[in-house]
Amino acid sequence: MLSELDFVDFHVSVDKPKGLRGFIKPQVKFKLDQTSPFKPLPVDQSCAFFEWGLNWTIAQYAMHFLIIHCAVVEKDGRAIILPGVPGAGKSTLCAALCHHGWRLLSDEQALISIANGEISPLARPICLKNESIDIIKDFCPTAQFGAIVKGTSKGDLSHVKAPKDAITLVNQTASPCLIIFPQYAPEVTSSIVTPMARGVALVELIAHCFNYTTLGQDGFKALSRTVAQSQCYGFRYNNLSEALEIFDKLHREVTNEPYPK
Amino acid sequence: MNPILNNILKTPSFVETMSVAQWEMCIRQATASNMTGRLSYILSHHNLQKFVPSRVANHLVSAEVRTRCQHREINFEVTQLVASLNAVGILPIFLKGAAYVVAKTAHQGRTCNDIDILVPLDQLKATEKELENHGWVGESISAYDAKYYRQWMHEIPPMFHLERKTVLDVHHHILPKTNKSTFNIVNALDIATEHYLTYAGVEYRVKTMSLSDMILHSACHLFSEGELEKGLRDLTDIQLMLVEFHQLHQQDSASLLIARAKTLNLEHQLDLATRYISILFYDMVNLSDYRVHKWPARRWSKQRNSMLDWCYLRVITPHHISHMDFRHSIAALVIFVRSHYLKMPLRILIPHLTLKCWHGITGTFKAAD
Repeated sequence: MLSELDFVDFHVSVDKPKGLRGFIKPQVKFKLDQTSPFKPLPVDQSCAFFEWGLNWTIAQYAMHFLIIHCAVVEKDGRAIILPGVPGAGKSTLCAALCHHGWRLLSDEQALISIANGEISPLARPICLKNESIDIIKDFCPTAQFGAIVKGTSKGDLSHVKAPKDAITLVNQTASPCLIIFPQYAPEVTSSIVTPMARGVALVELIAHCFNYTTLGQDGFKALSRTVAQSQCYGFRYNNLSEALEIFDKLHREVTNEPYPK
Repeated sequence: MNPILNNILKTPSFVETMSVAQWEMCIRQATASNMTGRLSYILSHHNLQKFVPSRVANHLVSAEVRTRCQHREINFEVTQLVASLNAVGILPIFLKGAAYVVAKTAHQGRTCNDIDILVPLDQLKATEKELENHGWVGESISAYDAKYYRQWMHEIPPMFHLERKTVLDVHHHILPKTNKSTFNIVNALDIATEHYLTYAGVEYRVKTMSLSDMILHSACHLFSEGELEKGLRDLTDIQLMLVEFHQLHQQDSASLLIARAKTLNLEHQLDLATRYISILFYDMVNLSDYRVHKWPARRWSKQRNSMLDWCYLRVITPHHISHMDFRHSIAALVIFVRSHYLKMPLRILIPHLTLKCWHGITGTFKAAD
C-alpha cells in the first residue's frame, strides 16, 4: 500500500531533445508534467535548470505557504531566516552554517505555513556562485561539490550536496526566531550587527516574498506573525568564522528568552 | 477507462475510496484542465473534504488562493476599464470569465487568462484609442490583417497593459461573422444586465450579458471551438449557470431558456450542452425538461448527433497525457476540422489564404532587399 508520504506533488523533469538536436549544441527542456514553461538551456546547465525550475514551480503552486526568498538554517528547532538580494551572500553564509552545526532548511526559499507559521525544510543542494565556490571549498573541507558550470545567466556556479542530517530530518519543521539581513561587505574591518525595528524588517521582507500579493490578507498575517516571533538585525560581514560566532551568540540570546506565541 | 477527474465529476462520492496514486493523477488532470479550483469547490459543495488527504488538500488550497487573487485583480481591472471607457460614452459588456466574476455566477474556482469585453463595431476605434490612453497596447499588424480582423473576425488582436501585463480581448461581435450560426449581437445587448462593483469606495456600474445569454454564449463557444483543452471546465461553467438559472425561474427555467435559444438561433448548442452535462456530470440540476424537449430535427440529425457524441465525449476530458490515446486524437481532429468548416466558408478562406501566401512571398523578397 502507498502511504500519503508517497504522494508526488509535481512531476518535473529535465529532458534532452530527441533527434539531431540531441547532438548539435544540445539543449535541455524543463518540463512540469506536460508543460514546458521556459525556453531550453544548454545541456551542461541541466542541474541549475532543474533547481530553478523546481523553485519556480514551488513559488507558483505552493500557496499554502508564505514563500520568502532567503536561506534558512536551524538549531534546537528554532530557525534563522537570511533574506537577501542576489549577491548579498546568503547562500555562502548558509553553506558555512550548515557545515558547522546548523541544519540546512533551504538556501533559497523559506516555506512558512499559513496555518501555523512553522517553516518546512526543502533539503536540496546549495547553489554557490563565482568566488563563493572557492571560499566554501576552503572553509568547509567536508563539503561535497558538483561540477562547476561556467557561463550561466548568474555566472559560474556549482552545487554543494545537502548535509545528511538535513535530508534525514526533511519532514521536521522549525519555528522562526531570528531574521538577519546579511550583506557581504569587503570594506568592513569587523562584522557590524544592527538591530532592526520589527516594522522596518516587515516592510523590507515584503520585497523578498514570492507570493505576498497572491496571498492577500493571509500573506500579511503570516508575515507579521513571523516577524513578531523573531528578533531582526542588519548584518554586514566579510569574515565567515566571525559571522558564525555572532550567529551562535544571537541564537543563544533569543532561545533563552521565553518563546513568543 | 474513464479519466479519474471525469469519474469525480460524475460521482463525487468516488473520492471516498480513492488511493494516493489516484489522487495524484486527479491533481495532474485537474491542473491540465485548469480545474483545480473548480474541483475544490465541487468537493466542498458535496461535503467531501474530509476524504481529501492533507497533501492533496495543499493543492486545492493553493488553487483557491490563486483564484481569489485573480478575482481581486479582475475586479480591479474591470472597474478601471469601466471608468476609462464610460468617460468617453462607451459602455462595454464584459464576457466569459471576467463576466462570471462580476456577476458572481460560475465564478466558483474559476480562473481566466484574460479579460474579454464587447463593444459595438461603430465604437471600436474610439475604444481602442481610449484604451491606448490608459496604457493598453496591441501588437502591430499589417493593414490587411487589421482590415481582416474587423471585416470577418469577432475580435481584434489581444491588447495588454504595459505595466500590469493583463491581457484584454476586445470583441466587436460574439462569433466570427463568417460563422454559420452567427449570434445576433443586438439581441444580446438589448437585455444586458447591470451589476455594481465597488473599488476604493467608488461604485461602478458594470454590464454583462443576462444570465440566459451567458449560458447560450458559453455553449455557442464550446461547440464552435476547435481546441477543447478547457472544454471540461467550460461545460462545468454552463452547469453552474444552469443551476442558478433554475433557482431563479424554477419550473419555467427550461422553457424560458429554450425560447431564448430559439430567438438567438442557438438551439442546437443548448441541446448539446444539456445533453453532455447530463451524461458527464453529477445531477446538480434536473435537466429532464431539456432532455424531453423535441429539438428541431435537421437532415441526418441522428447520424450527425451520434458522430458528435463519439467525438465530444472523448474530447471533453482532461487534455492530459495519461489518457490521450489514438481515439482521442481522431475525435480532436474531427472537432478541429468541423470548427474551421463552421467558421470559415471556403469562399472566404481561399482568397484569404491566397493573399496571405502572396504577402508572405513578397514580404520575404522585401526582407531580402
